[in-house]
This record gives sequence, C-alpha cells and structure tokens, in this order.
Amino acid sequence: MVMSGFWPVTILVSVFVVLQSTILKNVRIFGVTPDIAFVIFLFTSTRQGSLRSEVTGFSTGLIQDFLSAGPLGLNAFVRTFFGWVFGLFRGRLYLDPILIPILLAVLGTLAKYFLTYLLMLIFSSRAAAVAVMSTHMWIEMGLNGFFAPFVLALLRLFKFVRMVDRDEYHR
Amino acid sequence: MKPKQVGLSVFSAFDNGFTQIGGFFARTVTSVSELQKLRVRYGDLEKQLGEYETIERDVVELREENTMLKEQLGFARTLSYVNIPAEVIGNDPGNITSTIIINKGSRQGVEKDMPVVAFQDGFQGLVGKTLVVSANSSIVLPILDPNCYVGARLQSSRYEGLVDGAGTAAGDLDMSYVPKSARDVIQYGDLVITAGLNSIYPKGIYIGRVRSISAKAWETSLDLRIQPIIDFSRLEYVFVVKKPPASAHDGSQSGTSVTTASKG
Repeated sequence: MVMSGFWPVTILVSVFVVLQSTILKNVRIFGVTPDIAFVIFLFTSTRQGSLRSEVTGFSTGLIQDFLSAGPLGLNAFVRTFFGWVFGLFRGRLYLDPILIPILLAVLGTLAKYFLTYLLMLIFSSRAAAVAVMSTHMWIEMGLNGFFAPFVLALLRLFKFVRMVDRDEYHR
Repeated sequence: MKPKQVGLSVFSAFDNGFTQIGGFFARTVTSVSELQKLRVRYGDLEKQLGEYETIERDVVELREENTMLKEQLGFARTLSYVNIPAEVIGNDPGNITSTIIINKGSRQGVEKDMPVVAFQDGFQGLVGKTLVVSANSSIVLPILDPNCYVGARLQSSRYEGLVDGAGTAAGDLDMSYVPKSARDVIQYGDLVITAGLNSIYPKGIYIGRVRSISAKAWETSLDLRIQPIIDFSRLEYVFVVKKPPASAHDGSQSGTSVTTASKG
C-alpha cells in the first residue's frame, strides 16, 4: 500500500521543520535557509495523494506556525492547500532525478509565497503582505531548486516514502 | 688433521648454518607475534589519542563558552534594568517571517511585549520584543521583521524616526519619518538609538548605524537604511528586559547606575 507511508512521511517532514528552526539555520545562504521540509512535502504529496497530504500539510504547517511569528494557521492552510494540489498529481507525475524536481520546487516555492501574500493581504495588513514578496522569495526559490535533486535522492533512500522509479511507474 | 676434526669442521659449518636459519625463523615468528601485539597496542593508543582529542576539543569549547558567559555576565551587571538572561534555542523555520525562540518563559518572569537586548562587540543592542510567551520558552519578534516598529532617534543629531525591518536578505532596517531638513547633519555611520517615547523599549538602546540616505522628491522625509548593531546570525544569548523603573526610563542607557537584578 502506498498509503502506508503516511505517518513516517508526516514525521519526516515534522523533523525537518524542527531542524530548519535549529541546526539548518546555521546554513544560511544570503541570509536565507532553504525550505527543505516544504520540498520534501511537495515530493511526497505527489505520491501520497490529496487526502493524506492535506493532513500531513495541516499538521506540519501547524508545527511551523507554533515556531513562527505569522498568524496561527497561516502555514497550516498553505500546506493543506498544496497537499491537495500536489496530491492530485499522484500517479500522473513521474519525478525524474533532476528537471521535474527542480521545476516542482521552484514553482511550489513561488506559489507558496504568492498564496501567503494573498492571505496576509486578506487577514493581516498590506505592509505585512508586501514584506512577504521580498528578495527572500527569489533566493529561497533558487535554493529550493538547487537542493531539490539532492532531496529527492535522499528520499529515494527511504523505502517508506516510495518515490518510484520510471519502470515501476509504468508498471 | 685427524678425520674427526675434519668431520667436525664440515658439519659444524652446517650446524651453524641450521642454527642461523632456525634463529631467523624463530625471530621472524617472534616478530610476527610482536607485530600483532604492537598493532593491538597501536589501536589502543590511537583510541586513547582520539579520546584525548575529544577532551581537548571539549575543553577549548568550554573555555570559549566560559569566556562568553563571563562576558555576558559582566554585561548583565552593567545593564541598567532588571533583566532575565536567556539562550537562543531556535529560529523561524521559514523565511517569510523571522522569529527567535528563547529558553525562558512565563515561569521565569517573561511577559508579552518585553524588550529583548543583547551584547555584542561592546554594544548593548536591541534585538526585538517578546511576541508569544509559553511556560518555559518565548518567541521574540526581532527588529529585522518588517512588522516590528521601534521609535528611534539619531544619537548625534537627535532627530527622531520610526525603524522597521527592511525585509532584505542582508537584514537591514529602514528608518522613516526623519525630516528632510536633517539631511545635512546626518552622516553615514551615525548611531541610531531607541527614542523611548511612551514605547515598550527603554530609551537609549543601540539599534544600528546609518548605511545609506535617500529621499524621494515628492516626500517630506528621508529614507535611511540602517545596519543593525546586532549581528543576528551569531546571536546566542539575550536579555529580556523588565519594565524599567521611572528613574531608569529617564536616563540614557549608557552610564546609568540603577541597581541591576538579574534573574534566571
């Protein structure tokens, strides 16, 4: 069962959220930390399907909300939404080693910032919303894209994630 | 020469040869066993050396930590207000907002909207304010965040303005509402301090230095870009400042002699 990896995936993403808050903050590049937890979440969503990914996204987003200054539920909503969207790709998208992961990470990051901007505009202030679309966005997009193939290679080592090979995909 | 002597001479040579060969093999066997013993001993010593190296590293790290803590303690004693020392245990996991997580909470006396300061390179600099307080930890909103506003003043020219995070990757601050008439008296590198005016932040805490000055033709005020006095990437210890007494609030931060009571 593909779904059997739900709990391990949720725990893995949660661990990376906490790691990003502590150890990974020391590897800042141009003042920005790559959002590895989000990239893992995107990749696993394409395998877990919408429903499971929504739950994973909500719970891990909530953890991120507890540790950040944004309004409670902001990250939970964003990740739930992306869990649903990227979960729709289950069985339809093959992740090759380099190109698709990079595209997915870059577009996912861009969409994450855009959705956060909209939410801040509606529920917070215009100033807060404008601040979201800062230079951080472009740097994080680049970093997430750069690390995406390595993250995917790492995920392939974990059997519970079940990131498939092309042969298995066509089977 | 008697036949026996001849025989002795010949066979004693063989005898000697065999003895030498036998000795050679005996020494070789002994050497092999000695080599094995030496290898074991070498392994033990290497392991011991590794342990000593670890101990040495720990000692160096502890010395550095000790020096830093002594320095922080010294600064804490010079701090004019009652303060709660805390250690930075985490940051915001994302890049959209910026927070600092510290290991002190309501049980240690931390409350919401308390100013947080730190000491670096001889300066007492403003870090931010407490945003969320739990029992044993708190979230600090740093001045780098575009949502953190601080009433500020230029230390030399005494012009006032409002500082907030610029949202740049470099972690700069913006100071706005400084009148254009101040353009001629403001210099690059001028220090910016907290203004104190009915603010949660005590008066006279260093915020940063003026990095650039610009002005839009249609606006009546200057835009100053400020480099924070605190390097947030190497922030390890901070002090949560309790509400200052009235006498301390009036005086400038540097050189005040209000009794300090560190807690925590």
